[in-house]
Amino acid sequence: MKKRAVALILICLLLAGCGETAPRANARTVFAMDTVMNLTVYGGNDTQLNAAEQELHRLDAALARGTEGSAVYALNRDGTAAGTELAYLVRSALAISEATDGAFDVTVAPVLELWGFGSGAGEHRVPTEAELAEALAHVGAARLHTDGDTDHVTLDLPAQIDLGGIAKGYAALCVKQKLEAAGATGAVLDLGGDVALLGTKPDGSNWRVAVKDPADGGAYLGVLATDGGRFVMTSGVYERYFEENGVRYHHIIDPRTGCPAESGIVSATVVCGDGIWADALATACCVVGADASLALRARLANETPFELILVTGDGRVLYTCDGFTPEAGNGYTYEKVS
Amino acid sequence: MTTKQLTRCAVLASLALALSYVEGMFPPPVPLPGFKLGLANLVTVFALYALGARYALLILLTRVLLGAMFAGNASALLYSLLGALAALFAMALLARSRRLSVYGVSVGGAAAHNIGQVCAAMLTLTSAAPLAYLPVLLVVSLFTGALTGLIAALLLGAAQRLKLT
Amino acid sequence: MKRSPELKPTKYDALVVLAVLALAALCAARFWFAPSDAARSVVISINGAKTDRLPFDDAERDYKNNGYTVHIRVTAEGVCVEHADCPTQDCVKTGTISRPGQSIVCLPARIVVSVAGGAADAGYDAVAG
Repeated sequence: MKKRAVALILICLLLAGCGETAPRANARTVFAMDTVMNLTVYGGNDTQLNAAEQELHRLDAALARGTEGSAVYALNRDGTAAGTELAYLVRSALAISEATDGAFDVTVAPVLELWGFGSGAGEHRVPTEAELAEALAHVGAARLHTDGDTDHVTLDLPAQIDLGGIAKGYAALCVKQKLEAAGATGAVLDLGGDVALLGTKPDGSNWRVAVKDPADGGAYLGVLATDGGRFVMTSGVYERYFEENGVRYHHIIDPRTGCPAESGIVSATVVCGDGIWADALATACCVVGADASLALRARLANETPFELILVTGDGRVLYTCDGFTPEAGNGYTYEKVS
Repeated sequence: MTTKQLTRCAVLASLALALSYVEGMFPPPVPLPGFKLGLANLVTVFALYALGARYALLILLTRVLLGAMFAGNASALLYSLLGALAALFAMALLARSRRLSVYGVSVGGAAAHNIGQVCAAMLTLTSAAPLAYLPVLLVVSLFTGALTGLIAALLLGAAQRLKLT
Repeated sequence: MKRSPELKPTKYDALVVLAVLALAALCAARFWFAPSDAARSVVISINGAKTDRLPFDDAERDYKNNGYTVHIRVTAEGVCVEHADCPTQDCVKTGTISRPGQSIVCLPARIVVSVAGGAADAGYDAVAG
């Protein structure tokens, strides 16, 4: 009896020892797309991380409109271009524009440039009404066309496109595929605050993502517990802005007015199984406001289900996800919306 | 081990497994993956009094090992193992005192259970951070301990009346 | 080992409860009143590799990378980039950081100054926003 008990204890300790040797996290910091990215792969090896880093640098060059030789550059110059990746991104962008009634629009680039929020290092200033009207005349998803299922894309010049609004979402998707192809089973991608969760954690528990308080870089709104295969993308008016004559102008431009959106949203976090949609929807929600965002979520519930965490200018946090645990005592009023 | 003892252990072990499962349906009081309230300690309390520490240990090990196998989760094994062993150790010690009732023993066990699990969390996370949860957990353990104590007292009372022990 | 157990709460049970409460209070006091700086430190990474770790004591350091120089200043209160010769100056504009998890990024120089340690190390896998 006693011997058996001792044997059992020994077996247990052995097994407990196995539990401790969980795969170690292998991490890599990458500077790309104008931000710092942290890639963490559990039980990963350098080959996987190298593949991921290479992919990020490739996308950084391929998706920027300033890169001569990229398909986007050619499209903006010639009004026509071909490329599998470009056609896929343009098709996604057009679908999102349609779903959001134009609140997300890749042709808004020239207007962003006027305000100094473009990809070039322009001067921040408030454009004149005439300048805005002139630029807005060439904005609209209707100026961008795909040709059936082919790789051909055409653009009615002088309209211009910028894929920056879905670049990080697409990059997250691509890196996810690279890592999966290289055999990674669990990874966290932090692309400058936009997070992608891949597969499962070594201990099988949910991934936990802290969501930053837009008013305080060191505080959190709460912690989101979620399973793998999710993209957590945030847009906020606090990210880039400038002040002129005491008025604050932020970088989330409503493509329909050409001016910074006044929707009452300070930041929108979208949790979605599709990186491109998560990225674009976060921006679109900042443009349309809380009520329209929730309506959009209901409308897309079947095709592209997503969850929301919205912070409003009057200090409310509206959230739809079950896995979100609000942080107590930070002055926000939390409302769970179903 | 007689057939009767074996049967008893098996029944209690399966009961403990069922309790662990039910427990898993409640959200844990702290955000530590693998953390459990310790309702399965009820069986340990009962077994400790009704069958003795040795059998309680056997039942506990069966429950923890099978539970981890069913959940397919190696790191949760460490949590439940350390928690359960700490609880049994504390209760076996406390039960030596004739002055303490099932309640006191059970509360002590619940507290030890939580301490064990926090130790497991510190081991797996290799960080002292989980220690911050301990004060809250110890207060919670007063309630879970009293609850398991109450149920154990009822069960042991019934067992005495039915002359099962 | 088998014996008839005491099934009604005794006054000695209260001692167990008190002992547990005392332990809870002791832990709480130790954790909440201990200086939170204990585990905090400044971590400097260059090109994504951790190159330096400093305590929160008065210090000034220069870090050079990618053709730029970033001058950081550490005090007991926090850490900031005092001046840098990078074109964007975002690192200087970030101001002083002090809480675990916060960071100052200088993209042109590829230098990240972050606060590590404290309770923020556990609890979540990533920060969004």
